[in-house]
Amino acid sequence: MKLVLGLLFFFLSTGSFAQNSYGYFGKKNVLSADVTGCAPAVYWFTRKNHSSHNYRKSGSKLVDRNDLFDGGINLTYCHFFSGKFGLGMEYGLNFSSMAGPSTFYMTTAYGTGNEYGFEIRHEQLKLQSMTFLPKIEWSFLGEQFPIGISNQFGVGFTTTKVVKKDYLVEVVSVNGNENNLTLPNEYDPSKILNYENINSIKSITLLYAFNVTTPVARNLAINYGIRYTLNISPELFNDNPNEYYYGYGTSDEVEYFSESGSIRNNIRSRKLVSIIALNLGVSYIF
Amino acid sequence: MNTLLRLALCILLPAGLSAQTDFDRYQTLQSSGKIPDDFAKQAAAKLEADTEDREGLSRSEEEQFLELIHYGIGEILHSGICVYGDPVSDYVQRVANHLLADMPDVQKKLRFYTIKSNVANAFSTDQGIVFVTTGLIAQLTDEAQLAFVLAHEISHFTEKHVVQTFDWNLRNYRNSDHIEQLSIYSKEKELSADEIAVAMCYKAGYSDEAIFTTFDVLMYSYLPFDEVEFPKTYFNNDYFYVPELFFPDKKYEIKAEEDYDDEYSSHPNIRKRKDSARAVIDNYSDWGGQAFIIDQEEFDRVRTISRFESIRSDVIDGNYPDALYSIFLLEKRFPESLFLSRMKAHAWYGLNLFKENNRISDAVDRTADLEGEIAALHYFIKKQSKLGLATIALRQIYEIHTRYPEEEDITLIYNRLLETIASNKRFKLEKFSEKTFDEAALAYQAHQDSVANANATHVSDTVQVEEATDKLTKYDRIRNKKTKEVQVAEFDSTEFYLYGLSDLLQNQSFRDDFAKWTKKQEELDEEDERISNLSYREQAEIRKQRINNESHLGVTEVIVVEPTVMTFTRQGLDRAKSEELEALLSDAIDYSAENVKTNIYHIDKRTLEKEGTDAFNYRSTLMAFLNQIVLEDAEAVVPVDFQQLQEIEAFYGSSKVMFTLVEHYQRPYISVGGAFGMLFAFPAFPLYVMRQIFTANSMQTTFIVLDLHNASAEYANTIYFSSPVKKWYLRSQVFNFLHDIQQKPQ
Repeated sequence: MKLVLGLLFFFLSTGSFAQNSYGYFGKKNVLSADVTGCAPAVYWFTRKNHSSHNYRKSGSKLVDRNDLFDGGINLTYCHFFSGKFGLGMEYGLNFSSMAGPSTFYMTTAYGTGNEYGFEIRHEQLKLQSMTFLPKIEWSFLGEQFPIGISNQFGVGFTTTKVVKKDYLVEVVSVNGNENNLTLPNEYDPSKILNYENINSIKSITLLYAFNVTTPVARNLAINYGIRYTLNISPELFNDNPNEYYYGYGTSDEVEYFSESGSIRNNIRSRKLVSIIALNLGVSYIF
Repeated sequence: MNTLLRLALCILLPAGLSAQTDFDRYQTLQSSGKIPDDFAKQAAAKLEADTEDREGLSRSEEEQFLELIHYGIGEILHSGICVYGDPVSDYVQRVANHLLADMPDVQKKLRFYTIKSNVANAFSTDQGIVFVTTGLIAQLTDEAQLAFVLAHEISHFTEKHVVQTFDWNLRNYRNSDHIEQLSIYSKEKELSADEIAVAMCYKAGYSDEAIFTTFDVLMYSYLPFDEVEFPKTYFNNDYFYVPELFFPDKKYEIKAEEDYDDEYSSHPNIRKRKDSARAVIDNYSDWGGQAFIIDQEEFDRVRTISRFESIRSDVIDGNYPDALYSIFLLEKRFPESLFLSRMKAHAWYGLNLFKENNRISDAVDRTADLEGEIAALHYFIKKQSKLGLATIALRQIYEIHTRYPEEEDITLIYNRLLETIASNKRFKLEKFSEKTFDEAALAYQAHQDSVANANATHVSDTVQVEEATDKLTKYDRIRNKKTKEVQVAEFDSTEFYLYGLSDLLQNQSFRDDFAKWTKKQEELDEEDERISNLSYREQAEIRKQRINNESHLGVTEVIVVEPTVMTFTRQGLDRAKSEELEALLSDAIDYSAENVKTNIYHIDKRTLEKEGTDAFNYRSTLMAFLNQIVLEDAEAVVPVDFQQLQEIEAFYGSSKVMFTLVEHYQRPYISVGGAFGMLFAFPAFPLYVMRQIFTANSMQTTFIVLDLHNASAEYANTIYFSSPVKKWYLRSQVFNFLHDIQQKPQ
């Protein structure tokens, strides 16, 4: 925060007042609504490296396929102090997904002693992030604000949570034995997705955006650009809950399955690699 | 229609011939008559209407050529220095008509216009326009020389040299020795044009001698139009004396040679041209032409006009010593000329301003470049100190003001000079002697004599004086030096200017005027002092207030000159795109003026067909005013066309003029190396592409508001925009500017 205040002071003290009239038709306030979207390619890449599976619902089945699109909406208010500098506040909602807590399960058939291996496939988790982000808009090249090219820098706060819904879970044999494809008793989806334990993940969000605002009417403009965000979720804000981990072997070692800790870690990783997005929206200038 | 036109010409031409120019109250050349299509029609329309077949050019090459000639020549036509229907253009047309008496078809195709420029030049275009500069006419000695120049340019047109050179250039510009080859090619065309021109002059009955002297005219055209010694006594009168030591004790040789190296020139050197012309002339055994055929008196009138114009051009261009030398040459013949006095006042005012701003080298030639008789004047000005030059300027302008007290512009120059001088801390009237140079010199001599006598007879007195001096402290001595008036006991002829205001010092009116400006300056200094003692916050508030007041002019009515736009793409200046953006910007001005509720009056090259010659002249006058401001780099200048500006103000009922100048760059560029490099930093790749595309668009818009009444630049603001340029952005930009200048100052 000190850094932000420091930067603000710097920009305010060096802000240009040389040009008397600035603003779009003299107006210096902008309310923008943007949709953002991206193909989460970095996530695909990192996930592939970790050989994890992303099961998407396709009809009543789960298929291993990447989600093609992360999306969101941003609402921004910005006030411009000169033709080169403005301060704004951004509220963003972002929707993404990540691989669910799928796992393998080995069991021994009663009486026969045969071992059966199952893959418990969990539908990908839907994530919803909410961001509050103060930002500065700065033009390196011209004095055209609130329209034209802007470079946006922001430091904000994001919370991410798993969307509550009935996720589909499938059990698939891994050694060809198609019998007994039922979930073991210990595997309780409601406990695996313990929303309370997962809680929300808190991140510090750093933003750089290159945005172009093109006016289309006296007080209306369209925006488009590219956004780079870095969501850092430090341990400090994200203590993992005290929980049990599932295990293999005899049943007395297993109380219940829980993946809250690893889900939380996965969310942190997932948000970290949500680096790049495109945005498109409209601005009302007043 | 043609018959009617001829009839009208028959009636008007004798009237034109009998027209006299009042050189005493000369005013700059203005266009007259119906505005020709060349000026009234837009380049895009001319390009569309140009259906002439250009043999050898492909369709795209022809498009390129047409754009070059129509947009390029359009810029010259609307540059503000080109005139039509004026005495010079008319005379040139008459000489050309005589040359083309047996070529009526060519005669019909050609149009002749004058360019007010001191570059001695003439050139023809593919579309049949022949431009002749006043700088060239001013240098000529007879009509036959003009005829030869015109014949040369006409032959470029009839032989289609422009398009041929363009074609050649297209096909050869990739050659490693392209420049040398182009020079050779161009020189061939020039010699060919000379040969045809010689034949035309022979047919028309002009003197062959004039052909050779024309080459001399061209060779020495960088010198003034005459070579007369500048007298060392030029500035001397009863009250002013300049010692000869300020003038050079040698003549500066004229360096131009006929046989200069023309390896990279477009034209052969003079020796080659003379030899070539001689060879053609030798073919005619019965050559017996005349120097004047049309009208010698008219030639003299037109040449004098051109010489007067050359002074005006020099003043606008800041070539003040050149202007002063030309005035010196002409004032013998026109001693009562108000124009010459006016230009002299401008020149001295400009010189003083340049000296004050340490820009005198912009106006005065380097010692190594000094040539001919004019060198004496450059040398003299170069030698002057700031105080010396200010005194000479004051002396000269004061005398002109005294002679023409009713002339507003001269009064304005006088007052602005006093204002400048009063702001110069070194210029104090107390420093100046109430004696003239001669009186002071004589007094000094007498003093020296008496001291010598006294030394001989009153040695004890001298000892007493020395003892008194010894008792002075360091601070007494400093105080004495600071308050020192010119003492009889001290006389330094290099400070001649200190004896140059003796009569002014006794003139109460002058003292009052000077005191008024000094007081004003003191008040400004006090105000600055007061502000410097305020807190940082208060100072910032005052600065902000001042900045606001700079732009808050209370302008509700303004004359708008059409925007000047230059759009550059990666291929260079794109004239068609420039014109499109000009139209977009004009629309933005109309839209914004309506919304801000500012009344605007257009002076626009695109509406000249409707507005006519008056609007064209107004536009040219305003552009000259703008040029003068830009060149002098001063907020307040005294316009050379002061009277015409007042006419404009009276006509439109508004004293404010708005200019808009735009430089627009549209150069998206994605380098292969950059893109390849970005692949290694994949997430940055889309940013790289976006930045390269969008930031490659940039625009620099300068709005300037001039005030005709105060003859000053009231406000100028440059705005940088770096994004694709859109209609609404332009509207917003103009809206902000008009809104800003509409606010009343606090």
